[in-house]
Amino acid sequence: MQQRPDKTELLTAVARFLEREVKPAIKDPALAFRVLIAASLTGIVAGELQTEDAATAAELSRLARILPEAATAIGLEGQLATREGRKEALVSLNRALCDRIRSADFVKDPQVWSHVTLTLRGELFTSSPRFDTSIDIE
Amino acid sequence: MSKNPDDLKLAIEAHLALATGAPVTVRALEPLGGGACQDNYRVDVTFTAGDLAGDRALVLRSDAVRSLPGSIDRKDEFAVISAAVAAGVTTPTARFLARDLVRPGAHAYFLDWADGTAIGRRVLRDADLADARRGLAGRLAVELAKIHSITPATSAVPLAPAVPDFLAFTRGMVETMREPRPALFLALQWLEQSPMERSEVTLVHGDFRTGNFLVTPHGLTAILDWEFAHWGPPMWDIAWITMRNWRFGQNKLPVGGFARREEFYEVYEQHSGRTVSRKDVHYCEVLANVRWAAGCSHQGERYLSGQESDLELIAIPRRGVEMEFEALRLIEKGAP
Repeated sequence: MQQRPDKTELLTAVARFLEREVKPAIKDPALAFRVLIAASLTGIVAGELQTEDAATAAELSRLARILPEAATAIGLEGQLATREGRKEALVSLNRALCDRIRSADFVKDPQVWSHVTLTLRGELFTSSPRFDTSIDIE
Repeated sequence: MSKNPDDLKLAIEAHLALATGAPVTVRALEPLGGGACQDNYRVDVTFTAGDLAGDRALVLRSDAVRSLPGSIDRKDEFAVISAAVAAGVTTPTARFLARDLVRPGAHAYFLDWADGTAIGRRVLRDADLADARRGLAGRLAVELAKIHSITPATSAVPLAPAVPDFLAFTRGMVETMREPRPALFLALQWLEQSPMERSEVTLVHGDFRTGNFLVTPHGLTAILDWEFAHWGPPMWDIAWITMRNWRFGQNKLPVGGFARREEFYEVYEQHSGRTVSRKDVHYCEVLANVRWAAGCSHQGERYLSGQESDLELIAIPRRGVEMEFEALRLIEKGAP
C-alpha cells in the first residue's frame, strides 16, 4: 500500500481546501456552514488517525488497572495484537466500567475520576482543540 | 416522503383556503436552513379574506421524519405556543394547524414571520446588534418569567408531564447511546446523590438559548423553537441558557455568551417573584450537559438510521465530549 502522502496528510489537505477555497465561494450560508462542518470533520479524522494508536493503548492500560478481572475475562492480552481487537476491548472495558459505576459509589474515586477526565482531555485534543479545559470557567 | 414543492404549494393553498373560507395564493415557498430538528419553510401567501387579508409572510413548520427523545410533535407545540402568546411571551402566533400537509402522518402549522437573526455567532458579535445585546439579558429574563407563569394548575396546555422524572429520562438517553461513556455515568451518579433544593413545576421552554431567539438592531423580536417544552423545574431554562455550549466561545459571559449571570438573575427574580437558587442552577447545568451530551449522540443516530441526511447531524456526536467534560468540570468545581 502506498504510504506517502499518508492518510493524515491527504485529509488535512482536503480540510484545508474545503475551508479556504470552497467555503468562501459559496453564497448560500446554510451550505457554507455545512462545508465548514465537512472541513472540521475531515480535520478531526486526520487528527484521530495520528493519535488513536497511542491513545487507545493508554486508555486500555488504564482500564486494565481499574478493572483487572474484566480485562482477564475478555482476554485483553490476546486482543492487543490487532487494531480490531483493541477497538473491541475498548468498548467491552468501557461497558464494564459503566456497569461498575452504576453498581457502586465512584464519584469520589480518584482513580476512576482521573482516568475518565484524562480520556476526555485526549478526545478533546483531537475533536475540539480550541476547547479550554481549565477548571475556573464561570 | 415529503411532498414535492408543486404539490406542497397546492396543498397549502387548499388548507389555508379551507381555514379562511376564501381563496389563497402561495406566491413563494422555500425551505429554511438552520434548524437541525424540524422541517421549516418560508411561505409567502396572499389571503383574500379574514384578519390576514393581503400579502403575508409565514413559516410552515412540520414534524421531522425522526426527532430527538423528549421532542414534542407540532400539535402539542401549537398548543404550547398558543399558551405562551396568551401569557404575553414575544413569540410568533401559531395558526392553521394541519395534519398530512407536508408528509403523511406529520403535523404542521404556520407561524407569523418575524425579522431578525438567530445565528449565535452573529447575535454575539455583529456590530449592528451591539445596542440590542446590551438590553438582551433583561428582555430575556422578562420573557422567561412570563413562560414560567404558565403552570399545570392554571393552564389547559395538553402537555403530558412528558418528563415526570427528568433525571430518569436523561439516564434513559445515556443508557441508549451506541457507545458506553463512563463520564456520563459518573455525572448521573453525582446528580442522583445531590438532588435539587426546590421542585416547583412550570412550563419550561426546554431549549431556551442563544440560537433560538431572533434579534434585530432594535432588540429581541421572537422566542423560537418550542420543540422541547415540558412541565418541569423553571431553573432548567436558566441553566440551559448559561450552559457553556451556548456561549459560542464567549466563556466570560455565562448567559448565552452576552451577559453576566447577575443581570439576568436579578431581572428574572423581580418579574417572576422566584429566587434563583445558585445551587439548583449548578445542578441543572450539570444535568443539562449530560442531557445534551447524550442528545449529541442521538442526533448522530438520526443520520445513521438512514432517515435523515443532514451532515450536521452526523457531525454533532464528536461534540458530545465537550459536554461530558463540562459536566465533570462543574461537579469538580462545585456549586457557587
